[in-house]
Amino acid sequence: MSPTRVELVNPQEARGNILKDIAAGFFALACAAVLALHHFEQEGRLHQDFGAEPGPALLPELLMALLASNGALLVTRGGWKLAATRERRLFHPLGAFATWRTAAIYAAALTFAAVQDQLGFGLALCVLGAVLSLLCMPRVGQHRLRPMIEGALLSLALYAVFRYGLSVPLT
Amino acid sequence: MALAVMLPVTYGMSAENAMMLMIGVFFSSVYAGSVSAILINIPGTPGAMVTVLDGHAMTRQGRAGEAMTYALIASLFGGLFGFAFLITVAPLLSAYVLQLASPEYTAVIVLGLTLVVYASSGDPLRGFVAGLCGLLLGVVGRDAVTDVPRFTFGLSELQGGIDLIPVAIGIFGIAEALSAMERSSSGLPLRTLSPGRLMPRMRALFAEIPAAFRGSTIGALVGCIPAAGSAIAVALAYSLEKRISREPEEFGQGSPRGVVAPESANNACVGGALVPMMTLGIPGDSITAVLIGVMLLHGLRPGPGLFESQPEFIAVIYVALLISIILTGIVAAGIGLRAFSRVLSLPRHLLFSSVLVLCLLGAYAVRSSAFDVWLALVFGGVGYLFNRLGIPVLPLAFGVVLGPLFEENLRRTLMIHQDWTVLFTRPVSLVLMLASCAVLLAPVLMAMRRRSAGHSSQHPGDTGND
Repeated sequence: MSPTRVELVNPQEARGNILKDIAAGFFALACAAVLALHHFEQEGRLHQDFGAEPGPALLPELLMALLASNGALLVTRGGWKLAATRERRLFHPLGAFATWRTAAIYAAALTFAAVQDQLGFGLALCVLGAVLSLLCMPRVGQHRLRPMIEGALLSLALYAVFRYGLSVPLT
Repeated sequence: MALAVMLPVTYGMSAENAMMLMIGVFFSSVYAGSVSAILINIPGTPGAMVTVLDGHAMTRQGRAGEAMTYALIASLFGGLFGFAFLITVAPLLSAYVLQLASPEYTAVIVLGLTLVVYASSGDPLRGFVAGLCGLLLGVVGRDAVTDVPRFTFGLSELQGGIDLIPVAIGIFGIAEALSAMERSSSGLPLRTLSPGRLMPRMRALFAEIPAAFRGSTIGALVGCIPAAGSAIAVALAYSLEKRISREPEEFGQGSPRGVVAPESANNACVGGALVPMMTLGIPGDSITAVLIGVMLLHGLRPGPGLFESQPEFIAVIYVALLISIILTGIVAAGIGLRAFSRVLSLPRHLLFSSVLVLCLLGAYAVRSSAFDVWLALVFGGVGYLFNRLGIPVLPLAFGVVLGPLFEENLRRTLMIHQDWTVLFTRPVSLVLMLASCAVLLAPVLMAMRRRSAGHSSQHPGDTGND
């Protein structure tokens, strides 16, 4: 579990950890920056003095400062280790966002959220179930129609459980 | 959600029947939260968030059946412990609990969060990033005191804050499904998940009794603290076990103790949470708030007077809890475990697609809001990114749960005492804050110790395995 121990026994994982430190640090810094921009640009009563009450801005500002410091620490730690390492080949091939299938599944789910209002929840869910089922199939030697029908039917069954069993107003 | 669904059903019932039904739903849903956590990596309740760590790891190893049996036995053990606690220690403890004030609550929450960061597998510094992000998500929406909007980005849907369920569905369910697909697509073998055998070896089962006892004690005690909730209890129980274990590296990799400790704490919390409800009329968590609503609906006023005016109703609550525990055990062991594990025998493409469809349905169902579906998807992406960056997602979920509580108590503390040092001057909060500091510093000190030990064991010029 310990990163230090991993570093000693597995140089490839240690190199991955350096990258993860730097990326996580920049992620934290970016989050803190975006939130801080929004927070300090907000007009109205957010930054007013509320007397004895510490005010609604206290905790967000404290948390943003901590998040930024944490991000800076991670970047510094990653940079420090990067400078210390003798290995230059840091970016291994699995560094891309995802394989096409993972990206396609995520895109299908996003498309569902975008179109469920127009198509209706039930129909959109059936289509999504069919598409996801197809995308989740192993690549070779498989029929395509059957998994699509199975996926659509399973989605329909789940829809029915929520719509009629739990009385969720799925329109 | 189960309680909310059942609430209208109780309208036509007597107060006793309504309470029997609701406590039955309460206990069984607390147990059932572990089932989805173990099988599909989606915690059914906030108290099952820690169970995903080792429970789902066991599922991936083909030991889902064992994991569910451990969870069931631990839940029953915790439930019975909580019941015994409720009828014996509770009345004595309730008076003391009432003396705790906002500084102590603030310190408990700080301890809970630091323990989650410590207990999550992964780097603690990255864990803090997740915890801070979670706390920031917890303050999104209109401020409860001043009604000022924060981090709403002009979206009316964010005015009421971010609900835990879409976040949990996203970072646990959707992210796990995406990561699983990536594992299969990147050439790593993805075995058809098999539940394996249901019953663990008796010796292994008995070896977990001390962990169940410790978890139950923590759960019952934390459950007593109004508004602390099961999330803190399971974090405490899990991190204690990890701390005292001779093999802490096994936690997060499919250790049965990582299932037993949080599940016993989670279910013992049920009995504990009923203590402030019955003795003080204060809800221990959101679920007991619904139970108080049921009592008020039927003309009963929970609080100290209830013991004198309606002693028979108190007996109904005790009996209802005991029957619920027994029936949950019978139904789960008789039908549930086998039926639940069938989920894993679904063909892989149907399992993953139905998990994703279930995630989207679940996100929508909480508030019947399409916006929550978007939230779940966004947090699915965030959870996936966190997995890739080695950032533990558990502290994020805990931050969302504890953020509003933390802010409420911190502000109350500062408003009343006008000084943050009060957290270090009151005895109970001082102990809790010192414990938090110890948890924070322990990994740093241990890493330094290991590093120095590593250096001393290496020959000069040796660069390890490089």
